[in-house]
Amino acid sequence: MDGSIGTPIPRRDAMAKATGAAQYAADFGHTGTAYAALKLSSVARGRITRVDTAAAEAVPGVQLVLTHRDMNQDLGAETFIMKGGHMQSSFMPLTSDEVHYSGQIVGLVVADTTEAAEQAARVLNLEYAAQHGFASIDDPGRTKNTVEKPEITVGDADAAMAKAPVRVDQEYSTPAQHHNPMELYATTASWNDGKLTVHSPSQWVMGQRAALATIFGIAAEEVHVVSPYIGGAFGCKATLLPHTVLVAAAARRLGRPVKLVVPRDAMFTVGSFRPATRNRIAFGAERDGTMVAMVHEAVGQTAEVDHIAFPGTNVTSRMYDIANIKTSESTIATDVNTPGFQRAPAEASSFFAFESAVDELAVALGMDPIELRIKNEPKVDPVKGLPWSSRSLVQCYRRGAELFGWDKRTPGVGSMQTDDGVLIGYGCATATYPSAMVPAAAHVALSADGLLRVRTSAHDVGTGAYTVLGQVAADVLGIADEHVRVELGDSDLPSGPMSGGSVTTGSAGSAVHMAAMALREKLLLVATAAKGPFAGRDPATLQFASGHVVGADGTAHSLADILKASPAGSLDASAEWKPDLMDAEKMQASLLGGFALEGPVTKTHAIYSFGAQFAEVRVDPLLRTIRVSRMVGAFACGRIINPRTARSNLAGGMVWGASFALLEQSQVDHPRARFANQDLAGYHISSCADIGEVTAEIVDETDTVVNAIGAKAVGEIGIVGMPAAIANAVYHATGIRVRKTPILIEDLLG
Amino acid sequence: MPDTLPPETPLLVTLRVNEHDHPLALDPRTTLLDALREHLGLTGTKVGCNHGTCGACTVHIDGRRQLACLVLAAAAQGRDIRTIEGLSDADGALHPMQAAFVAHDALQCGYCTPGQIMSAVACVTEGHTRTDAEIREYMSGNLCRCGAYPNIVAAVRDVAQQKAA
Ligand code: FES
Ligand code: FES
Repeated sequence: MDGSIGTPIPRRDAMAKATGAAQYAADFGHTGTAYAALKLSSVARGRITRVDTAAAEAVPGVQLVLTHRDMNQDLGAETFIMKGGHMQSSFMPLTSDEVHYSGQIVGLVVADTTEAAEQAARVLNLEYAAQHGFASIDDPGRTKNTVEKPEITVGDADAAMAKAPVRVDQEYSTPAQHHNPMELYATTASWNDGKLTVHSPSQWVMGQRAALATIFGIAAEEVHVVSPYIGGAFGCKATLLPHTVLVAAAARRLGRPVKLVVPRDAMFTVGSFRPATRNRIAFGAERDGTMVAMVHEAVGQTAEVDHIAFPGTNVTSRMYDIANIKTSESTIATDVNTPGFQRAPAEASSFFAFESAVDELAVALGMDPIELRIKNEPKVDPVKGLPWSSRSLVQCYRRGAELFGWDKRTPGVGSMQTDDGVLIGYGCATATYPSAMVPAAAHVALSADGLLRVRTSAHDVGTGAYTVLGQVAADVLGIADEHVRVELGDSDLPSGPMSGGSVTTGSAGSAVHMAAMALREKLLLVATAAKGPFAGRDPATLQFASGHVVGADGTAHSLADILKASPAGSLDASAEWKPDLMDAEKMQASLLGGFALEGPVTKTHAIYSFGAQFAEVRVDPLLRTIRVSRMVGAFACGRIINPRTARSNLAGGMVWGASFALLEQSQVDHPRARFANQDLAGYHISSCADIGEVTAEIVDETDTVVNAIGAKAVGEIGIVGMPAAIANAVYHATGIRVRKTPILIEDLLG
Repeated sequence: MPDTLPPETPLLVTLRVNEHDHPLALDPRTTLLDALREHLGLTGTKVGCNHGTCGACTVHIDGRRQLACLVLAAAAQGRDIRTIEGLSDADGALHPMQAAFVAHDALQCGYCTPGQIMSAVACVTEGHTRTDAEIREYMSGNLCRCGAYPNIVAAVRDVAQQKAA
């Protein structure tokens, strides 16, 4: 099958996944494996005063009990991701008697069987001197810390706001949320001749390799991180998590492989989560709908042990053509594990607020919310005055409105009902996601058997990278899809980017493209050399198609024939790609497992994907239950390599958006300062019955700036506008403006 | 006080999985899920919660869908257990439901997929496929965090229609 760019070929890994053959981290078997179990702190804050391991050690089959008393000497220092390191947090459990949050790892037990390890962890006895903790930004006495740099000031927002004839000014809140990928965190570590092999689901095998090398004092080449399949990640498997370090330390001590599968409840505290937010948004507008002022004050939850902020004001300030903008950002520290990246970390929460506020402005103006947005469409980036690399938001609104049937909407609140009185609401919202670029390396090889191998240590977290990256190479070389093999998710491969921030297709894809172009050059050289089948011809006149090189006169020779003319009978090429404006030194550091990002706002352009999202909700007039019966999203993300995997990814993001709007919250047990609903029975995510029709439409767009393949961000934009579109639809159905998520029955009792 | 019980002697259990008998010596607390994954190396069946809330561990026991994490291995002795590895034909041809999941892109990360497929096969056998709404309801015991639901429903509908035709 033709596997060129733009072809909706089936997912390359679909067969392996549908038959159960795909191996995820916990599926790899090792002879002699011992099993680990975690002990988590039962208090939120304080010190461990006593450790009694006797009962745990007495459980038959127990091999090792690790607490903070045993660990210090094992570990070298690694740092927090936001300070240039690779760790999920600055705080490494088991390195002191300190307890900073409930559910912190305070012990690790290893035994011959899972059952024995779990039993021993239960009877490992720790005593604490506990202090009162606070796990919510709404708890009394929490103070705000201003984040210094990111303030944005354009014009004079206060003065323009004061003069504006129409104003809206509200605060919106979102709760803490947890990623909850279906695959649990799992690590198997084994040591061989001083070399460490780790099977752990990872969005960043190169980063984890670098970090583990530092921590265990060995060379990076002596660490092998293997993660070919990842059972959902959404940001929580990007950084190195402490349990992986502890499992590797235990394996080294025991001299045998150790495997840990982290239980679902522990997933809420041994990794990261999406922090709670409060966003104040104010708009000032002329009566004709011209926006004249915007203020966005963002407050986000962070941890006592770390400062991390995902405010999103740098994105909201770029949405509409507004001459006066003022933003500020601050954080509130709580006694919880360090928050982290979760699908559209800054954008999902801030756009719930921002795009709800735009809808409130439309209501205040008596304007159609789509026309209000289109009226304020900016020609250039409102903050820096830079051109967009591409921006097709208006086309997205037009196409989305058509697919959704927006013209059937009657604007009055509660004006649309079914025959049996169910209230129907239509809402819309803008989505965007920054397209940043990360350096990447790739290797492509064409062998005598006709197979094209594409290798880079990027990751397919369900996004379609296995399929898409192969298509980029196949497109350059005119090779049918069935002759393409793609290897990802292994730190022995050429350095790929962290698969986060929707960078994989653009960044790893650019590296693959560059390597494939280099291989194409080599093939042309061989083909036109003295002994080649096209001896003496001008390479510029030759084309690649259907596994052949074709001359201007129609003569065709298969790639296999051309390879026969090469000395080795095969050809390969490597490439190291960097974003145009990045310097080489930064690229090298990044390829070694550092993290260097270019964009989304470069010296010359603002580079973002855009989308328009629509929701139809149905609210029961008596019970006030809310159903999302239809969702439509129209997105422009540059060149789409594979519309099939892209649509699934975008639709999945929309399902996340519905889940965000109506279901998800990590509830806080205030007195005990901990998350209270730490399982999938208590933490609700969308199930099949919660999701109605979903349409993810791709709007054609050409972007010649973003990178060589013209691909912008796809992976996260799907969630961004959905929560506000749903909240706006709920308002349209009921007249009740809910300024928090999740929107629940009790919010609509009026 | 189960935590203070003396060491258990291994339990001898024979599990019949995908039409093969497997004699095993297990800790009596071993779940069917752990027996399949850790003792028989049948890792197609996934673990997502270990307590019956996600559906990733769905297998068929005597032809009905069951959560392997909620069944003790000892209680599965003498029953006919089928896992995702035993779904395709002896000659390796995909089960129609597996083919439909591939054809409709009803999977992303693929982690929920074996459970979804086992559930979907049973859903069709049970006849709970008369409408999309019914499919959605009867497939809701299998969570998919990637949000592949619309395509999962399309795959199940497709197989149900093939069967009816
Ligand atoms: S692992 Fe059995 S239901 Fe989740
Ligand atoms: S495909 Fe990822 S959880 Fe369903």
